[in-house]
Amino acid sequence: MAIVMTPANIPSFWDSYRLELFKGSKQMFYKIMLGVPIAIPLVIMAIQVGVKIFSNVEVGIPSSNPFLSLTDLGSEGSFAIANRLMFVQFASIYGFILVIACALSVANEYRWNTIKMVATRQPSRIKLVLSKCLFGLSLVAVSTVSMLIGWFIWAMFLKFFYSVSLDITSDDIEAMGKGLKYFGIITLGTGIFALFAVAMTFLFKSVIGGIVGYLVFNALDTYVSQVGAQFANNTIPSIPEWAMPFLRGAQDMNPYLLHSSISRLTMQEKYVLASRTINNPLIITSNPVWLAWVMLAVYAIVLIGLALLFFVPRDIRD
Amino acid sequence: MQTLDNATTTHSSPATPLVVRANGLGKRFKKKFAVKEVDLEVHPGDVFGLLGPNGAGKTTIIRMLLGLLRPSEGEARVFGFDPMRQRAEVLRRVSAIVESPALYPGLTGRDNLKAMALNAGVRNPAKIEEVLERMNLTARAEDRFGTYSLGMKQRLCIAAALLTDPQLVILDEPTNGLDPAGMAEIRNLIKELAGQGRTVFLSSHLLNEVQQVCNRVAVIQHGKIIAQGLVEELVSSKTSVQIKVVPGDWEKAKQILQRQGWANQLRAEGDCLIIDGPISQGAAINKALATNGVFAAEIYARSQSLEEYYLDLTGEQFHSTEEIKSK
Repeated sequence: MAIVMTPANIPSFWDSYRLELFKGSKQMFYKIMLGVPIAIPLVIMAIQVGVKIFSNVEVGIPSSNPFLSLTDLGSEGSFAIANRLMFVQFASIYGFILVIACALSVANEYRWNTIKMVATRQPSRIKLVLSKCLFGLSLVAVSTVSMLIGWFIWAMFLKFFYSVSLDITSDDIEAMGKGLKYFGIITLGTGIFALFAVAMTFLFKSVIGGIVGYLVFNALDTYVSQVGAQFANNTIPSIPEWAMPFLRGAQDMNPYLLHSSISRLTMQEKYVLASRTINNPLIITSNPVWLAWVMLAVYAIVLIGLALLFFVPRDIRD
Repeated sequence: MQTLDNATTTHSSPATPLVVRANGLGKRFKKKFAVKEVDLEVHPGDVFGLLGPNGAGKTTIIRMLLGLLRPSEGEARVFGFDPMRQRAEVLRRVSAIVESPALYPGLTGRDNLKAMALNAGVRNPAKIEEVLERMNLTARAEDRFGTYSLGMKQRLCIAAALLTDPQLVILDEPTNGLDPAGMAEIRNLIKELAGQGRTVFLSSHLLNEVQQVCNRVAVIQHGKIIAQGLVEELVSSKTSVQIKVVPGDWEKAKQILQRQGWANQLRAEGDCLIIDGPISQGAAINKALATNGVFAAEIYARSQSLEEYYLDLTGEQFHSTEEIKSK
């Protein structure tokens, strides 16, 4: 006797997003990746404990001149040091790993040939793309929490290392504020780069394509941002005539580039170079700060749009 | 006209009794057509076989039916819905395995089914255990998909396809790479699905297999459908008379039949003589032989196999995947 068949539910966006989270939670790569921001500081702390045991570490946390850097992450206290260690040095490498992880979440569907299985169950390709984008952003968000835990542990450890009180001082609070603001903006930038990698991977259907696309974009955007800012700040010596149109173009493009927007939001306008306080040559101070925020939002929307454009109307053959 | 939906579900759909209908369907990759002018009809409850050698365009047709590929020309309808414009309505009634069985290699069998359940909007966790049990995979459910044999991978993909309650199950070369036991298992499963009232659409290059499970078939060659209909009708469209005579009488029998004008249709097969032609000739043949002192041990009508039908139709030999790989 024939059974009564009911058409299946149409999977929601939430179903697709949960699928991404479920797959991610089962993969060792993502687990290791999210543990690294805590594990690396712990390893370094273990080494520092060895240093403390076998040599004399001076009491008191060394301070630094806040204007010696292009970014002000505080000068006094253990959190100022942790800011530089975690949010500048570690984050620059870790951000790249995050971008690779986001590209992999798309590329693996093609590598494992599961894209057809997924696309013949979730009828909405828009939901499919958006769930991948949201997964990438979630990965960035969870890694941010992991980074913050590593940062906090390290900062507290430095108090022990330099034999000072474990109390949170006003210097610490000031450095925390600066560090968190800086890291928050950098994280937004990482999220945008993650979206870029997702879009590129949908275009090229491989992680190599996604990463190469990201690297090319990153390099070009950084270069044009810096050249445009340096040209605007008159810090490029002896410019040949033929290069002038390009440099003017770079200057005109500067307010709309991703790196210059992030730099505008994170870098200080003045800093000290050879005992002289000078304008930061890597930002154009006349660019409005609000425009930088708007540009971050525009990039996020455009990149999600590109991912949709690359996947939704296309035949799925692979 | 009663629609399938009216008969089986509470959902409405355009009035058509056909599960799959394709009119002039074609797909061009760059300048070359992979399939062209394809007309197909799959009726409710059919076990439909799309038969053709590798590279004939079977998978391309399946992909168009599932909305994975946009047709370059013509139109396809599944349950009356356009797979490109009404993909949701199509996919909620269909489960498919396209090409090789592919799931997440690092996930266990059970986790893969959980993932597919999420992806298909299935909210009943008991369904996962049910399909694992049905496909005899419960014992290996905690092993990673990447460690499965090809047969197990195929079974897990079919399990994933059965998580929903599909009215149409599309299986692309479901027995590819399976051993005889695995092939028999898939055949039984297909029969069981059909017995439940589901329509099954399968593609295969294995003629014998299609003949065993399908009631309706379309033969595709070089991207075009060259024959279509009920298997029974296709193979009986050309019958022959099979005569069994003792080997000592073979030469004499041949001479008699040649004299009667049946020489052109005469051929030997095993210990029998086969004469192409309707069974109505049987009495005349028997009479001619007996008159000349040759007595047939057996005379009976012989229907063609699907393979013979295909060879007659195309003049081409079928190649299995293994043969093609070895070339």
